[in-house]
Amino acid sequence: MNALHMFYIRWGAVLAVATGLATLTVHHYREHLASFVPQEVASESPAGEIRVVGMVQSGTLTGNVSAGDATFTLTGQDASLPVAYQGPPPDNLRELKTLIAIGTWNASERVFKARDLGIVPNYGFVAGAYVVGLLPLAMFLFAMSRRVNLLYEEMKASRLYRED
Amino acid sequence: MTIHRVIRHVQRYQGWVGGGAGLCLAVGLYLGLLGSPPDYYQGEVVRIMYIHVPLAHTALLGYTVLAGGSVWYLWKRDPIVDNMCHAVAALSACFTALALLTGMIWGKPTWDTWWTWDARLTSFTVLLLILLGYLMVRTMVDDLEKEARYGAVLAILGFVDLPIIHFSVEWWRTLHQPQSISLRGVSIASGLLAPLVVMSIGMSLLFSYMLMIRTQLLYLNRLLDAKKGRLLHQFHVSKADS
Amino acid sequence: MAPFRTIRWMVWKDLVIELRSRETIASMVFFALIVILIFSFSFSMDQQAAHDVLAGMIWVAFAFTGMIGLGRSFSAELQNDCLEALQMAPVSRGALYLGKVAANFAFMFVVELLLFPMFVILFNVDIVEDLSLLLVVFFLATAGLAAVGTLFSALTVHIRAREVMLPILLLPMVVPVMIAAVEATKGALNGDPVSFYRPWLELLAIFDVVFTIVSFWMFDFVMDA
Repeated sequence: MNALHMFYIRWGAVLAVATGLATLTVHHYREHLASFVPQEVASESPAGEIRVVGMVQSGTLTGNVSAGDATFTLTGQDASLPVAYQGPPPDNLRELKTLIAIGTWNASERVFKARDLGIVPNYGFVAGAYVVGLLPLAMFLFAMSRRVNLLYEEMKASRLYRED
Repeated sequence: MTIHRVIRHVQRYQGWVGGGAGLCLAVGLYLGLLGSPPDYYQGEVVRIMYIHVPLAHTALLGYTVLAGGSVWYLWKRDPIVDNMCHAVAALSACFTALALLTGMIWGKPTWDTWWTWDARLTSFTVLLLILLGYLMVRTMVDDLEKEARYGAVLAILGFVDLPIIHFSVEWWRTLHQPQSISLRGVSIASGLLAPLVVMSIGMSLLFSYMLMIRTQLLYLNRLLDAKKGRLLHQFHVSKADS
Repeated sequence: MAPFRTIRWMVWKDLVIELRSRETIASMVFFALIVILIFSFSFSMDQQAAHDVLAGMIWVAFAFTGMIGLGRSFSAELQNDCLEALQMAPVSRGALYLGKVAANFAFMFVVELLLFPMFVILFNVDIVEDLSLLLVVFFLATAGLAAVGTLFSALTVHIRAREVMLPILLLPMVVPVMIAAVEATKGALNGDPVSFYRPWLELLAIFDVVFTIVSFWMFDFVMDA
């Protein structure tokens, strides 16, 4: 059990913790990632609360937006979906804006009852930035630490190094 | 042979610095990725700020350390200070490059372009070029003492140049187009500040930890070369080590 | 006044060598002509387009020709170990530096004065109103290039691949000079009132002063044997 073994065990622990945290984070965001497009809603009629991604079609936005009451059409991939929104006054609701509508699909009225609106999250960019920012640093640090350990071993082996 | 006393101190304290860096970064990542709300205008993308800004701050901090160390080296001519300067330059270049890359990834969703000749991006690119020039020169000198001296001169000149570069690029941008796309539009709400501060501290600690490791690496390399070659004057190792 | 005599001797020495060999200025002028030729191939320009990019082209050509002159400034001293003689000479290093800066500045400025009319003629640009201000811009920017470039020329002369390393080190460092020179030249060529580009002239002057002082101080460390 020399210093190099300890070094690999330490880095193994760091790797395990990092993987665990990354898994937890991905798990946390997974529910936000699953979303439907208008075509799927019309054809599959999913039950329960779902999230739909689409663009507010030009000229369809009616109702009292500032009071939190609006109807509009979400389009995407040659299908469109009428949406009736009722909830807190939305910040981002305007025509030609790509949105996520959260609510339930009312199959009998053929209308999507939205209770909340959000802008499309760019999780890909966020994840990319964190990977690009942290991974090279970790690899750089690992390579340097390993080399330092090897050099200390070499010094001990060649009896150049006297421990104090 | 004994190890230089600076290196002995580094050996003693590096664990604490590394552990502190890990802890701060873990807390900062939790706050940044999970514990803070998305931004009103930028949405989730604002989370890139928590990695991009600390990287950029740390790169600038590193350059300041490099300039200070270079002055110190020219004054005292201690080889261990030169090892430290060399280590800082490599790490600063790495952090600058990563700050530019994360900035580009942030720019795509917010400005809809990977690259723009914004004042800060441009001055950071010039900073990266200066650092790479420094590192290249250090590989091209035969005499280690000369290498250290030339490196210190370059680092000091670059440090003096940095504010001038920044101002000139900024004037040049404001002359050519109003800064329609500027990071200054991001007003930092209090909820966004906490992860930013924690990540900044964590990155600085990580930088210090990496600096400790890399200084040891360069020091040991040079010491072993000197010991093997038995030509101490060629290897610019301080008298105390031999 | 010993330092001034040293400076005078350094300049005189470089000028005499140049007058006898005519190597540096001739190669700088020919190189600049080739650059002009390549510019004319690269952009098919009418008079208006040439007018818009003239300042940029001028400074690209000046910077690259300056690089040739600066590179030769110290590598020429390697012959017959003249560099070691300079290092051993019992004169102040700062005076050596200022002498070299003055000589390099003189070469670059002469070449610029020769080249500018060629730019005007070959690209058919309307002649400018205010030549004296243009000369001020050339003077300040060339002084900045010479101040940093002389130090880097002394620094790169001892390292491998010195011809490559000089531009790699120098060009990022003189980014402010290039920006300010292009903007001020543009203003002077357009005949804008001076107040439009006075900040750029001030920036050039600040750069010159700061880097002459810092390089003057650093030259000691570069020239140590």
